[in-house]
Amino acid sequence: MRRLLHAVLAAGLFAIAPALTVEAQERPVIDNAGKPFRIYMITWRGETDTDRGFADYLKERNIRAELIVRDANRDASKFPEFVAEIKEAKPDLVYTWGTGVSLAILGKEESVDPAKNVTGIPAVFANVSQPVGSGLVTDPRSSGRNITGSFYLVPEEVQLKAMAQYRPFRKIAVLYNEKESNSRLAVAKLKELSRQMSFEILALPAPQDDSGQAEKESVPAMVAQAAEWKPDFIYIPPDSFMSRNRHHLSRAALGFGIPVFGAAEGSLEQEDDKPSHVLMGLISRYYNIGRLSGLQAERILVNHQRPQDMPIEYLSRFSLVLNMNAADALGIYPPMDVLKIAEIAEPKEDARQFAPAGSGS
Amino acid sequence: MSGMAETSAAKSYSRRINLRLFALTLVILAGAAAFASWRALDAFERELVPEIEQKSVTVGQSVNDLIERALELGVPFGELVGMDSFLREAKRPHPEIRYIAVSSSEGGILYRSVSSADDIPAELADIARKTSASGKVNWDHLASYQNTALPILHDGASIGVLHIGVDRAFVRQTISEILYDILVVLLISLLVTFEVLLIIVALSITTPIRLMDNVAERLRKGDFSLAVEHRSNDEIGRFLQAFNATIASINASYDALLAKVRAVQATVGNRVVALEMEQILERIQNRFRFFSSEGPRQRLRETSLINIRTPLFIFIFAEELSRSFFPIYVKELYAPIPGLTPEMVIGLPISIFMLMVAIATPFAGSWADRFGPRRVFMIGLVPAVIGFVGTGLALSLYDLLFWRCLCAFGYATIYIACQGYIADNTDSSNRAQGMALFMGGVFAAGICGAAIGGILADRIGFRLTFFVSTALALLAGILVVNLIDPQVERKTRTAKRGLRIGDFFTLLSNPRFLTLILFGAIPGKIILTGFLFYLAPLYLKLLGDNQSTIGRVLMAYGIVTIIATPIFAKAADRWKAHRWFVGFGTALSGVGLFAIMFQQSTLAVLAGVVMLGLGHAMSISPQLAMVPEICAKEVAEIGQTTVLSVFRLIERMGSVIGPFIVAALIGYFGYSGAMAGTGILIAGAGIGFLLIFLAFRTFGNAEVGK
Repeated sequence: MRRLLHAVLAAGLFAIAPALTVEAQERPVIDNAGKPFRIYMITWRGETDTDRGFADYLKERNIRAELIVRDANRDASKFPEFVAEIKEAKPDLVYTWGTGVSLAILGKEESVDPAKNVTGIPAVFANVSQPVGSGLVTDPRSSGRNITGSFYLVPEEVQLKAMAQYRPFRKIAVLYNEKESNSRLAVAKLKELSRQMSFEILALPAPQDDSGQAEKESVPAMVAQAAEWKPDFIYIPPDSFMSRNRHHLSRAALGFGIPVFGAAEGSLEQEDDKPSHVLMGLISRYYNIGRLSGLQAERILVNHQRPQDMPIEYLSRFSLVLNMNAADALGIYPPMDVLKIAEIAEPKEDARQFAPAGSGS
Repeated sequence: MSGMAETSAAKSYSRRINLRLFALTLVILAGAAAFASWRALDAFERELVPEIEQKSVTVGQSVNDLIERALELGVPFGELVGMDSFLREAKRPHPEIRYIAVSSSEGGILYRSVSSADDIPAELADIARKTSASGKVNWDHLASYQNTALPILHDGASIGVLHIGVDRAFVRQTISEILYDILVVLLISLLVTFEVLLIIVALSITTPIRLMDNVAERLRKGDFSLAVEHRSNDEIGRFLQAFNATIASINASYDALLAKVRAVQATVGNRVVALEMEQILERIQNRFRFFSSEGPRQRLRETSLINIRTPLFIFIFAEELSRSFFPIYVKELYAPIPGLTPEMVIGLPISIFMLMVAIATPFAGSWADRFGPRRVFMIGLVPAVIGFVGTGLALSLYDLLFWRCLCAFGYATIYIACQGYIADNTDSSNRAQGMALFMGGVFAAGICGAAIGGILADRIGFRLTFFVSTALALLAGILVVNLIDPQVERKTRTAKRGLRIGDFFTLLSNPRFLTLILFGAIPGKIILTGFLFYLAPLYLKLLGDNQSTIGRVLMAYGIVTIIATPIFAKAADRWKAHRWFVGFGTALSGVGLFAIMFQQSTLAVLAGVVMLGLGHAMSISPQLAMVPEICAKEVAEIGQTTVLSVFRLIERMGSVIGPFIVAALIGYFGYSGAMAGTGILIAGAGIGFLLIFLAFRTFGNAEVGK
């Protein structure tokens, strides 16, 4: 009798056991019919936080993927080689980093060339500041082809509202490099907004040397020129040249007591040789962009959504970066509501040494 | 039961024991409950204040965290930016917080956000110094605020103080809110205790004593044919057993005597002797009655009216639970119905309920005659229970209407079943008392239901409250099964005369009856369903009252009527002034609603409800008393029962149209306008009633009076 009872109990346990293990287990590993998904990642200047965010997301979701990374190392001549390799290898997904890489691998929407671009394989682009302005796509609701991706740049309107929340403004000076398309697009958008939101704008392009390159020596002079106009803010668009010279620019601005706003992560980066005294920025963190790209990859690979059915997306949450060191030197402190949501940048050098005597505290 | 019990000593004994027992129990209970409530309130006050202080600390801590972070990031304490909007936003979700202020450690106010009607108290400077010095949270009871002061720390030292002021009126209001709830529960526990006592005392003491008294009275007159039916093993039960045994032994002796006589008659064979013996026997049989092999055998039993009052009380309680929130619940399920304004749609379920009750009543009446109260009660319980469950689960207004129809059908059936039970177990001598007992249960349940329903709705929500109703209805059914005897189908009873269309014409052609119906009875029902059941809950909700408060306000109607009805009824009888009471009562019920014109507040609605209660206490019983007075001819012709049925049926149409009339008024004049408008209509009807009857008197009609 007792034996029978045990048998019944054991049978009961066996019946329950599979349910228990499923419950205890995490998400099952997702792969491509037993093999890992093969993803080609083309980057421009080595590994960035975007790539890490992308890889982390796939890992968290238990999506088994083989990441084949190809870095252009700032050399555009390598692109045809990558395209050929992708066509040969036929991966499950292509990931492209930055405007240059994305345009070269995927082509402009209106001039895609199946000979030069990858067309047959779904692709996700990341860190493209202006997907529409650059011609990669024409309609953010759908690329109309086998690609999707994200906006890297925070919409200018949202940026301006964040600036106004910090400090009401009437005049904004934009310092940029005319050679860069991202900057030109940003200036055009700001001019349009200046009429809608009624503020004045002064757009100062960097002077060029004989070879047509922007002169980095001219940056302090540009700041001085802007300062004469007495702007409430100096605005740096997603401009590689200005980002590279952020230390020159922001030190000079401190001298005139003018706060600087950065539209992209580049101008906010703190490096020992290139410290930034940009007061604030509203940006998409590379890492978060990477995770968003990972989500888009999951939808394509796992949920079998078509990229053309997936709109080009913004991050749902931007990062407001504050440089309290600069705020202190300028004597312009952030309102409590801004402080509440801000990420605080770690300064590399004391900003007060560049501020005119008597300002700040 | 016969009239002689009325006069007996036992009757007065049972009344005395009842009175004393109830008085004593109520005094002890009220005392104990009042003491417990007072202690609870005291404990609550001690609990509430720290609760509020703790909330202030939590709010203050989150404000302080950001201020301290700003300080840490190098923002000077005197140069914090955007503090106005920051403090305002911190304060906004908590209406009881009237100010948040930041002062220096010396007490000077640096930043503040203050509610419009309030001011920063002067004591804050002292508090700031004290708090800063101690470095700890400080609580102070100021004249009108409960101030919580938190030190703002920077680099380990206190550099300023954050002050949070909670309105003390808020604390007081929260406490008085709880006090009201406690009082309501107290009152209701008294009423429920009263109900329980009634049934226990009736079952175990007064009924057996009355029975024994009755049987003893018969014994005195020589009737030994009855015994007392009672089963219990307490002192009374054992005494009654002995009492019955004594009667039985007398009967046995008589039986033995009878047997002997018959034996002698058979053996003697002498016709003269036999005749002589027969005559002696006859004389004995004429003087005394026995139960024997030749006589009747029966046991006297009395079915106490209380047996039906308790289940009725519980069932009506279940139905009344939704009284305080029903229209609000309907509003949540609102769906448009073409041709009706939204207000009318919300009133529709009440109207449909009343209509269904009116339709079901005659059917229920004929069933009650045929199947007896117990079975009819159970027949009514089935749709009622299904209706309650359905109402609680209602998906939309449309199915709600269906569920309410079931509830109404059950309500009408059960009501009639109970009324039938009273009628079956009373005679003309005590029927009025029986009905008073019946109505007492209905009113008590109304009071308890509205108030408890409101409290329940606040705690567990509307839908779950309907499930409580379901459970209560089932409990009522269990009691009926156990307390009411099954009844054999009555065939002997003469079939009651049904209602005929002609009856309506006969009665309505009586101008006095018509006046009573149009200017007294129907307005009374219109104001009851239109104002009390429909408008008052909606309006009070609009004024921001919670369900408990709405329940308390509606409860006032029941309390006033239960207290004032017997007083007015006696006065009206004594002064033979029924029509004056009807007229003035109706007018008074309407005038009460004018209160809303002076003050649009909960208090004004309460005043309306109380006046309505008074008005109804004055007018409702005299209305019924008037019917036979003014319809003497018709009563003779078609019978009083039929006349009263017609009266009731027409009167119920007032219940049906009440919500519609008030809803239409809301559409034109808004809520307070509708309340005043209803008042004008009803007061006008009351005055019209008086004027018309004055006119009848002037014309000196012979039909007036009995």
